Amino acid sequence: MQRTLPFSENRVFVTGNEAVAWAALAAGADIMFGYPITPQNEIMHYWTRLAPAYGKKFLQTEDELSAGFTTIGGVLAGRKAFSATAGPGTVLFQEPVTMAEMMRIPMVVIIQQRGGPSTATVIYSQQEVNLAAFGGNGEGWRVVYSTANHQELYDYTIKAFNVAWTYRFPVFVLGDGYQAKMRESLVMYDPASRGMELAPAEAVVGKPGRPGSSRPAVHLRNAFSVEEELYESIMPGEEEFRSMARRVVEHDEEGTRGAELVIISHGVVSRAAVAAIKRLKEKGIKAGYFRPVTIRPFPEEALQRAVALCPRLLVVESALGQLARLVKEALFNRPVESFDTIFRPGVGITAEELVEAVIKIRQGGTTCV
Amino acid sequence: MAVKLSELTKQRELLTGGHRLCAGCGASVAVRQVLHAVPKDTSVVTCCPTGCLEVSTTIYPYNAWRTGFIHSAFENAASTMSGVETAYRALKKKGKVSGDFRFVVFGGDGGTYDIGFQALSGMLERGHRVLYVCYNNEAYMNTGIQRSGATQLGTWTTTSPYGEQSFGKGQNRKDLTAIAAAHNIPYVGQAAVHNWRDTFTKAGKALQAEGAAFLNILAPCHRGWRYPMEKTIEISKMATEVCIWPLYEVENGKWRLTYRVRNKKPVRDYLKMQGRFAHLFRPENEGVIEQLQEFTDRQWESLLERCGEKA
Ligand SMILES: Cc1ncc(C[n+]2csc(CCOP(=O)(O)OP(=O)(O)O)c2C)c(N)n1
Ligand code: SF4
Ligand SMILES: [Mg+2]
Repeated sequence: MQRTLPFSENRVFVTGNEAVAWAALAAGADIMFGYPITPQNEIMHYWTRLAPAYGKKFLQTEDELSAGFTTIGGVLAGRKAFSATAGPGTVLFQEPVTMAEMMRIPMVVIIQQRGGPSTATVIYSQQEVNLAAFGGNGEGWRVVYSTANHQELYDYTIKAFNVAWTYRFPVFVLGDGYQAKMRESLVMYDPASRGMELAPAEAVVGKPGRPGSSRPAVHLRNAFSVEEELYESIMPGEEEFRSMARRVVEHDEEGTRGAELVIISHGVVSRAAVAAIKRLKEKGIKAGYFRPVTIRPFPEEALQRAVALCPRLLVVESALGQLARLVKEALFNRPVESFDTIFRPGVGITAEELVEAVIKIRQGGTTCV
Repeated sequence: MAVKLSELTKQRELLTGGHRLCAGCGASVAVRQVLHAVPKDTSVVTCCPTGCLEVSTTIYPYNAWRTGFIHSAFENAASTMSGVETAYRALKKKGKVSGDFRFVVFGGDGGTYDIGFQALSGMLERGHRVLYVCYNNEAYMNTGIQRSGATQLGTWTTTSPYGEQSFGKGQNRKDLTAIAAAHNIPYVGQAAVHNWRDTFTKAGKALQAEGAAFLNILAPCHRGWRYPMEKTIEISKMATEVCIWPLYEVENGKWRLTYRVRNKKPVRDYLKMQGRFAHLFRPENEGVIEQLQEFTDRQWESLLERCGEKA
């Protein structure tokens, strides 16, 4: 059985799903619980091939509810367990993930977004923002990383495990079918060789000793007898979520100072935004770019600062305003001069379209429909 | 019910050609054999959960079904059809629909044994007059050949690969036909695509049943099972001859073999026809075939007993 990773700082050319499987291995994941769904299937396929050589495990369940709860079971037993899903599978994951939120159980789920509602399409959309950030009957205590390329899929999958096991909140890595299925080059590395420490996993059940006498008892609650009790549990939880949020919130930004307009996007669409501002610059038009890397917690303060520099906004996404809603909430009561949008639920957005849109807005037009 | 094949071929097909299932796919054969048994002057509503059959027969704007057709999501075809049948009964009672309707679900094994199991059980227990057909290709084919609750021990799939640490799927399949029978519904049958007369007869009885009915039809998939596409029928036949897939029915609680195997062959003969079992013949996987043989024998013996074939 091999124990060490077969690479250190190697440039590879692989699909996003393969990058995720390797990243989970690099992050010290012990077991994957999965259920087939396009476009994440190959994460399972790669993992089942990799796993045995590294003493890792895989279990396929009978549906996504079960995949979510077996993941929780694995975590309670002290293993770094994870799963991957998409679309209708993400819907079914809401019950286990919401329970994990409340019980403060770390868990990592990779979501390769596809089109909705329901079964819909199998490759691409950005329609799982609402679900990832706020799905479930709770307060949305999750961390959601929206990746834009294969390097980020690798980096943030590793980070997801660390954040989950450091702060004990569920973490989603939000990709999409384009990122999942496309091949792209990236550097795969052993986190240890970069001086990264991996947060340890801790068992809740099956520990030696007698709880309450020879060791402290652990009591994770997911049910309350009276409403006041629930309230008293949620309020400190929210405090912890907020204090974690300040430490994990991330965004990416370019050229907002002195810009005529800022393009706001996330995930793979932000690649079009980056390309567009470059092309606009060649035409002598100064546009900025702002991208939340964490969709939840949302980089509100950073966005407010950016908007103070340039109050003309263009929000673009492959969904009908799921990102825009978060943007508006972050900017509540802040003056903006213009707020244009390009909403393309289920379809991709190119740099050319964005260049055209910006030119149109400058000429006094609007992109809103 | 002595039906002639020559007569059946003249019947209008309710699943037409032109769909995009692979050539040699067992699923469409199963569907056509069932739908040929629909009585004349009876309308049919069909429903598929997500899967190869649904995806390949309903590529928009085309639809290969000459029936009312519903694609439900993946886990809930039985629930959807329960709703349709309930509404039909209510409307019929009020005199708002005329004519005779039948409701048939065609679900894959993933959508039936696994994620759709709860919905199926609910439908059978409530006794809706729906025929649920599982076209069983023993894996999740539409998403890339993953193991399911119907996959046999030792089978290679993409989520039960073989190698140093694994000989393929580590568990036996569940016996869904017997589980369906345990719901005490009027009709349950196990069939396979090579025996059209048997499937046709069972479908006829299932459609006549005054309540829920369930058919489990072995429908080989050459992509997932790894055999030449023209061998679908041959392989289906061999599954019955080695008794890994016996043909039987449970009619009002009475178990009956519908095909007596005269000369029971070893499971090996079936396994060696398919690439998904090729690794079991390697020395390092010795013993797995014997385990599968033993499981098959045990199931077969208990079936013979239930069918009163043991004097
Ligand atoms: C809730 C949910 N989970 C997963 C899927 C993905 N999915 C669609 S079809 C399919 C496989 C179907 O397998 P099966 O039922 O055996 O039919 P087959 O394709 O083999 O004919 C899966 C996993 C989905 N559509 N919805
Ligand atoms: S992959 Fe298999 S089940 Fe799907 S259409 Fe082809 S032969 Fe049929
Ligand atoms: Mg199947």
